[in-house]
Amino acid sequence: MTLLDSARTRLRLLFARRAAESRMRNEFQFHIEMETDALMHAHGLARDEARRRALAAFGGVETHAETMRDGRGLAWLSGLSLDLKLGARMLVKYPMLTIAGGLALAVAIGIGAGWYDLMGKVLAPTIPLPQGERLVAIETQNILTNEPEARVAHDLLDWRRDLRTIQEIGAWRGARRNLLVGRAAPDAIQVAEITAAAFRAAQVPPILGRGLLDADERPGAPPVVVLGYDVWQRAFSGRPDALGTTVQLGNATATVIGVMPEDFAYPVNHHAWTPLSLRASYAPLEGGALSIIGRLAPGVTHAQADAELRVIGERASAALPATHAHLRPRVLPPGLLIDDLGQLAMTNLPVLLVLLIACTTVGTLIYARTATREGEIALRSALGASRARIVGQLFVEALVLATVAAAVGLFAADRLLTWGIESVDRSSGDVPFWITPGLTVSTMVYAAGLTIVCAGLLSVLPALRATRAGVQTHLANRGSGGATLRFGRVWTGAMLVQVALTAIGIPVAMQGALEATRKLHVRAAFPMQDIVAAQLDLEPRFEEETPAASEARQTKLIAALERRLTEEPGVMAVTFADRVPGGLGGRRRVARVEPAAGGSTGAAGTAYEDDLIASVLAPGFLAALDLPIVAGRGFEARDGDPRARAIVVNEAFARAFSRQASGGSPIGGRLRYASSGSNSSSSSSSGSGSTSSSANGEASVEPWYEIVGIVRDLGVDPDDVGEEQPFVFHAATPGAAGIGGMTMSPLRLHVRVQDGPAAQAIAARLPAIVAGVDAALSVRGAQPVDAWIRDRHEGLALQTAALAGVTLLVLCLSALGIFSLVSVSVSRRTREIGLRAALGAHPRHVLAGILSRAIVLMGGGAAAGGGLLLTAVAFGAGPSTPASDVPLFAGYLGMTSLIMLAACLLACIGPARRALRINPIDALRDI
Amino acid sequence: MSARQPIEAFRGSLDLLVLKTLSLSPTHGWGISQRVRQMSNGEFEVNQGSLYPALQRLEKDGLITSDWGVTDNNRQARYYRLTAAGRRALDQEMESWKRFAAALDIVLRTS
Repeated sequence: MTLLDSARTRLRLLFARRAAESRMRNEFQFHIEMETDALMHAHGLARDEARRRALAAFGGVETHAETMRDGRGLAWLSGLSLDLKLGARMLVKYPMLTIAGGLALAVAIGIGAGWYDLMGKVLAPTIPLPQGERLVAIETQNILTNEPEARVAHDLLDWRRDLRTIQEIGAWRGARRNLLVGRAAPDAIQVAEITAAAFRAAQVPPILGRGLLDADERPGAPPVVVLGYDVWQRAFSGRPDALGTTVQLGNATATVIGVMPEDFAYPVNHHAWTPLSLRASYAPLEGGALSIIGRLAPGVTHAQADAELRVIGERASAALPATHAHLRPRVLPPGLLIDDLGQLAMTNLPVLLVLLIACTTVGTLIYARTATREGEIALRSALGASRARIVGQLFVEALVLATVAAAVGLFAADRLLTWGIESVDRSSGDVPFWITPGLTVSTMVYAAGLTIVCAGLLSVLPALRATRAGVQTHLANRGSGGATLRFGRVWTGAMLVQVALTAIGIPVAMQGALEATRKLHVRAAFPMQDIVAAQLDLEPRFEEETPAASEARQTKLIAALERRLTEEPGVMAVTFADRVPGGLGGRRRVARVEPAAGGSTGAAGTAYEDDLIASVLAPGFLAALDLPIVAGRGFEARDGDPRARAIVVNEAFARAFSRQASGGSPIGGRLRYASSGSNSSSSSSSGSGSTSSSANGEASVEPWYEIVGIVRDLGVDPDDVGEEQPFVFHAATPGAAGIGGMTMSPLRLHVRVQDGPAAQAIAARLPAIVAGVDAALSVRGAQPVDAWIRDRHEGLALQTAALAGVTLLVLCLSALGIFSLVSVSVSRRTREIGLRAALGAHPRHVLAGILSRAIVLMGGGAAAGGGLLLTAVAFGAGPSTPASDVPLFAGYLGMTSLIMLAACLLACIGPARRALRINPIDALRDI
Repeated sequence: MSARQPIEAFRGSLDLLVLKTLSLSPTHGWGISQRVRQMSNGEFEVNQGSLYPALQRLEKDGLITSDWGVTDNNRQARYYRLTAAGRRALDQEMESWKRFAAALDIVLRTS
């Protein structure tokens, strides 16, 4: 009770500063009045005299008041508020330091906090559902192939029966489907087929109607659907009478039974939910791919659930050795990619290095500022301020700067992440619901921690140095116009590193900007604006279908779509590919090419080996784009057969081949990709039943392909030096499975029309036309090819701008560092300069003496940075070959040196003028 | 009232005097100073101004609490009262003071 009382009183006193002050004044006043009255009555004194005596008896009112304030423990608080005010004033007084230093810290803290936030959201997310942390996913891993095994319908039934630690175990699978309501345009949405148990596991009630029930998944139950809030708003304008309405989902119909709340996109990014019916039994590995989800039973930990599941998994491995010997199920929080917190922390380390560099550079500036304030610090020490008090003051000043920077950095990080998440969501719609815009609380706390660490790094070392010398030394130096603080080895080293970084950064940024400009400059050999490209989605195969039947259905659907689109007025050709020319994506692979036997290359062993981009096209693709075949032949319909193995390469490939294989032509040569074990294909082919790995997990031997033709460069995929990248085109029938991973996936529809306006018109109508052919087909992202290319450029432009911005910032920091160095040097040498001026030294010599150190530092840093960069380039770290890169980067370094010299001289102007204005009489007076 | 000059309360004994005064009944700061003077027959004079820092310290230590009240002549005043902890502290302080006084007495009597 005593402790509590005491704590309560302390708290009250601490936070009720104003109230305590007024209470004290009232008490004093009461006391003096009472004493005055008493004296008047006892001694018959006049009021004024009585009051005078009462005041005298009370003692110094202000002294007692001060004692009481100290007793309240508020002395430090008033000191803190003073330091904060001083810190804010410093921001205004040194605007260049505030802007450059603040920006550097803002960038560093922004990157640090933004990266932490993103990593947290992506790798170890918090699920925004009631008790989301108790939601678990069960994933099965094949420990032999190290691939996930999703055909777990058989195991699910076992788990449901045996697992005690996990409740509401259910399954789901997702697909993009067209939602058709009445005569409205189709809306392609992500639909989750989900069991009632898995739906219940979310523990979120619908805002309208009901959720999915066990009865809904029984065979013969009427088909139903629960809609997401956004879908409900779009399709029904938020009308409650949507309940009971029959809608079409792909080719199936369903009755709307409920609407879920806004932002509910469980289990990943889904906006409608239909019941998933499972049979009473499945053979091992029978059935399609399923994701499993459930909730931990009350009081059960993840580890306990995982342990129980492992036991059941081992039992299954023993009972079903043929299928389950290598399968290991485990319990994971949904969306978790890294379960080791240490590993998660490690991902932040490189980013923290950026922060450390920023702190070092800004620290130099703060140190220089501290040097110019030596006199003030000495005076404060002389007036009784302790060393801790002065260090504290400098810390608070740095904290003010770091806090302002952190606020700017956090705001920028928040905007950038929001923009990133929203644009990814807009373009692909694949952002999981737990990755939401807005920084998390833990990010804010992390940023606050970074800010305090920054302030510590920035201030404590300069402060300790500044307060190390005795008061007398400081004051003596102040009197004689000199300074005690000097740039020691640490600070000179830090500045040297900073200048070296600038020397490296500027050429790299120049090269980056040049490369980006080249990449952005496309010279399309085909009419980009007359071709509309869109992502085409097909409903995944039904469980009852064999892969062959599914393939037949898909090819038939695509053929029907092709026919339908060709009938559209203005449409000249319809074709397909796995990549939009000039857009994102494409499979980068390493291949070996052997020239044709008896070819012009002569030497039989000469082979070409390089990385290239492989793309799968419909046989008519190149013709549809009017791309001429410059040698050999183009694709024919028969090349769509996976056994045909005919490939066409572009001119860039032929040029590269010719360079490596002594001027020969690749036509008739054979190409084989490096084993896919080392170069994973970007496309997943599990859905089509074809894999590039054999059943026992060993990488299969890649087949040979024959080069039959060379096609004109498309001109929209330039590399770093502005030349078209080597491409290999494979032909395939859209929808059909290929061999060696050469399936057309993802599937991108290309419609060639007569002109730009026709392209815009067809892009707008494409979703309706496609769904009209078959509701199982849906498209997204329909826009002319030049718009696809613009999308890619947006990211590249942003990246380049960021690189240029950071380099400019580092240059500013370096210049400021030089400025600080020269300023400190001038203030330290005031007396010496005065003496030299008095002895008749020429101003040029005086200036040379002052600037020499700055020039040596700049030159030394530039030489070190440039030397490092050239060495790296000479060892092949450049964009091209060392022979061409070294002269290029040497040229950049020449320009860099000029820029840095200019920055150095600019930084020196102010201090140099100050030095030249030193009056010898003033400087010598105190000697 | 004694005609002699009052003794300034000994350093360290002020807390004891305040606690003892408040053990009789709650009162305000001026009341405490008056009561000390009365109880000591005018021998002790509490330094009036320094009474308040002492009161604040005792309150912070949880030995006394305070609240606003109204005096007989209808003035707002801050009334202090002893807490249970304060009462225990008073007992301890009195005990140690008595031992101290007795020991001092013995020393002073030694000729």
